[in-house]
Amino acid sequence: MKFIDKRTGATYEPSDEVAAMMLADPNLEKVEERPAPKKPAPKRAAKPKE
Amino acid sequence: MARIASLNVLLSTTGKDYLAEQYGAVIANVQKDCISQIIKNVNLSGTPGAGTYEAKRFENKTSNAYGTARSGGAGQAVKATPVTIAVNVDKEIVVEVEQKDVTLYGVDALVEREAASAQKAMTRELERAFFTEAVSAGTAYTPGNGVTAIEDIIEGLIQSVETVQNNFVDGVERDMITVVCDPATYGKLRTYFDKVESGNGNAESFGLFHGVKVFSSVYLPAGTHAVAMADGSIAQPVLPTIAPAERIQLSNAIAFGLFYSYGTKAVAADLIFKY
Repeated sequence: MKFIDKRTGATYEPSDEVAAMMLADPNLEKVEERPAPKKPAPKRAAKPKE
Repeated sequence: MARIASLNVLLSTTGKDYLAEQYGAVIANVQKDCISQIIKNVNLSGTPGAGTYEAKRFENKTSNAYGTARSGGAGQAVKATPVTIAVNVDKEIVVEVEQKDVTLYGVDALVEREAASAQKAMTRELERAFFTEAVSAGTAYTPGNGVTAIEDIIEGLIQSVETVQNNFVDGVERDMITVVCDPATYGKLRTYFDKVESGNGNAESFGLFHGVKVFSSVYLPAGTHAVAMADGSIAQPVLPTIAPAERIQLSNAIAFGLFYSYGTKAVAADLIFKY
């Protein structure tokens, strides 16, 4: 879980235990981590027509 | 050992004889001062009297409007979180020397020197364990965009501790915070002081930075530039037992050293930040 300090822009990566505590800090905002976009599958070369 | 040949003292057989060589001088072992002893938790460290310690951390109270307890039929409950510190690392440093070697080796007080060296080795291991726990439990701090000057980075690290707000903490006084830097980071900060405080460049220590104690340490884990923590955030109970020099049975050898057990635990991980 990642947090950003709304006042300074600093970011924090706490352990799970500390992350649970940081949720109560009004100055920190949880950063929603989006899953990385999937790369399109490489196109297969068309088979040469016989 | 390469001895120096004499200029003109010839051996009766062939060649020149060598100049005398003196033994017995000792190069002192050198190590950095240990910082963990200054900043570790006082109540939960020291010599342990049990295998594990459990400390309670009580949550802060919040006030309610008058009459809340009466209308609800109950006051606020006391909330506490237990923190357990285990004395679970057992180590020894046992040295063995032959009495003949001690007598004829030519180094004064060899046993005393080696015994002192063993104690220093223990201190170094405890220091490394302390900062390894700090980095393991601490929260990684990344400065905001555009913050690149060392004084701004360290100030941001300090503020990370100072402004902690959660169920247990509501801000930390700066005189309770300590920053420990690796030598490169400490050097950058020292250079910053050289620029802003003319004529003070000779001193190794600048003591305080914005009211916070700052130290240089070589015992931070690799890759960590600095750690900021509230004093007492890590506990490290240590049980050392000195093994005095005694003769090994049926021999003319002597053994000595020390045994020690310890545990290292972040008791307030929310107050530890690393950069």
